[in-house]
Amino acid sequence: MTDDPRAKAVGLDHLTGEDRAALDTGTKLADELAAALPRDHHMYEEPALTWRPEPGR
Amino acid sequence: MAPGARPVTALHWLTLAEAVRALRRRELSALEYTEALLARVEAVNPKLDAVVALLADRARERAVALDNGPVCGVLHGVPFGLKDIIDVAGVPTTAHSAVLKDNVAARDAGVTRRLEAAAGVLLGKLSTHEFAIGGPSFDLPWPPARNPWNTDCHPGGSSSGSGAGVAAGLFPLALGTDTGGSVRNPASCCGIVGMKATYGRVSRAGVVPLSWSMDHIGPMTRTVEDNALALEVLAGYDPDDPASADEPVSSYTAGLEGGVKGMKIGVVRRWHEEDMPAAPEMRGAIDGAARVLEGEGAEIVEVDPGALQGYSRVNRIILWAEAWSIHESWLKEKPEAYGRFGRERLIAGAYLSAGDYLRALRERGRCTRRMSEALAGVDALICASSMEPACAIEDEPEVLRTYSRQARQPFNVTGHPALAVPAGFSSAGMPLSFQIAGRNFDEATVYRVARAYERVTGWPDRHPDL
Repeated sequence: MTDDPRAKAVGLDHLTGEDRAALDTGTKLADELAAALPRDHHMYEEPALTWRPEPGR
Repeated sequence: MAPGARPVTALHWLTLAEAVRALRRRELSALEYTEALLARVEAVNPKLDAVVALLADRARERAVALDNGPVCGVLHGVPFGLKDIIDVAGVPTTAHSAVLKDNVAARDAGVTRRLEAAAGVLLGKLSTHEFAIGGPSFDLPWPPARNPWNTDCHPGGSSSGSGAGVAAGLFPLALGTDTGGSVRNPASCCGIVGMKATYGRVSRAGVVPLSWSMDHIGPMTRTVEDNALALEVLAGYDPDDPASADEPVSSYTAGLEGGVKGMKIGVVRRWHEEDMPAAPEMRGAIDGAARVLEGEGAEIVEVDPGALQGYSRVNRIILWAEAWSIHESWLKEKPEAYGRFGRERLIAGAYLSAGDYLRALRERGRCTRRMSEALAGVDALICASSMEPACAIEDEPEVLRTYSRQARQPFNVTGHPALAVPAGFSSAGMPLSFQIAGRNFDEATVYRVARAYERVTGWPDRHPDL
């Protein structure tokens, strides 16, 4: 068990060894990419609940 | 050999179109063709590990039944392979993972039904990266597929067995799936043609999902004409896939030989020159493709749909978030059942927040608008696929480095059709490639451009020596 609060929050605090290493490796890159996403979406934009291409375009 | 007898070894290099013509005229029987390809699989697959489940008896029974009946479908008697995340009733769908090793499909996937209805002959299930994301891996129940142009190299992925098998002449048609480029990567690495059609064009019903808003199913063949023929069979509305598009299907073969004279074709240079500089030989192949199309009468203009990294980031965040939601319970209960790569990549979304996912979805809208604007003034665009040819499969750092150096993800983000096209060979003898992309539901133009290039260059005439 780990006391990492993020692992605990998503129910992965039981992972150890290689499984724990996979969590650390996998989420590190996701954290980096998520941090680099633009954060200027302050206005109404696409009204999509689920994304679909516009038919015929 | 008796005079006039067909050399059996030649049958495995028939294009799908040639085979269809011979089969429909009854110059070639479905059983003769099936037996030739089964023999090819037996001879070559031990070097490639492209086929994970050979369905020889099933294929023979099907071929005999077709030979004994009327010609009844577009693909009458043509053997094909399916990536092993596509369901076939009564046959295991393993996704190349111990997690699903005992999973037997209850019914056919939508695409399986279409290929069977067109009188195709299923030859076998094909190697994939685990759950279409974790590979190439050596810690799974089956070995990874290898590249027929050099078996020390990887064949790309995740539809690795589909790419390797088609390039090696095991079958003229295979299906792959593509969430971040997984049809087009093996097509590029193995020197064949791979289509990711418009989102919603081909049904995903009965396919193990990875990321529902970006998953696509696509045909992989050795020639452009073969690919267009296959998409004509595969395309169409399927109520069993909630994202299936209820749009008319055009003929993809009718205008194939129309050429590009008078077309305006955009080139996205920034992706392979600035954003992610390609290896010189790959860059030369892409530039060479533009020159060939210009020589055929197209007007070449530069287009800029925005930075490649912006699309890649959105693709990864959405993919990881959706994949985590699919795999969460299994990853918590039995993480050890996954291979190392699959575990790392499928668990990557565990810490992504609702805000991260929604920001990526909103950014996706911007990406889609930018791409639609870039395509609005041209008939089609060409761009890089991979930035390097395939490297050694056991060189893990190089595999990881080069897998992410690609320009396929933008079209999973935006949904536009994109085709990987062979563009020659590196000095080391490995395939080079580029992509042709088009407006939504305009696969016909994409194929027409590809065929114009192929007709001049003739790359499909070269085959690996196995």
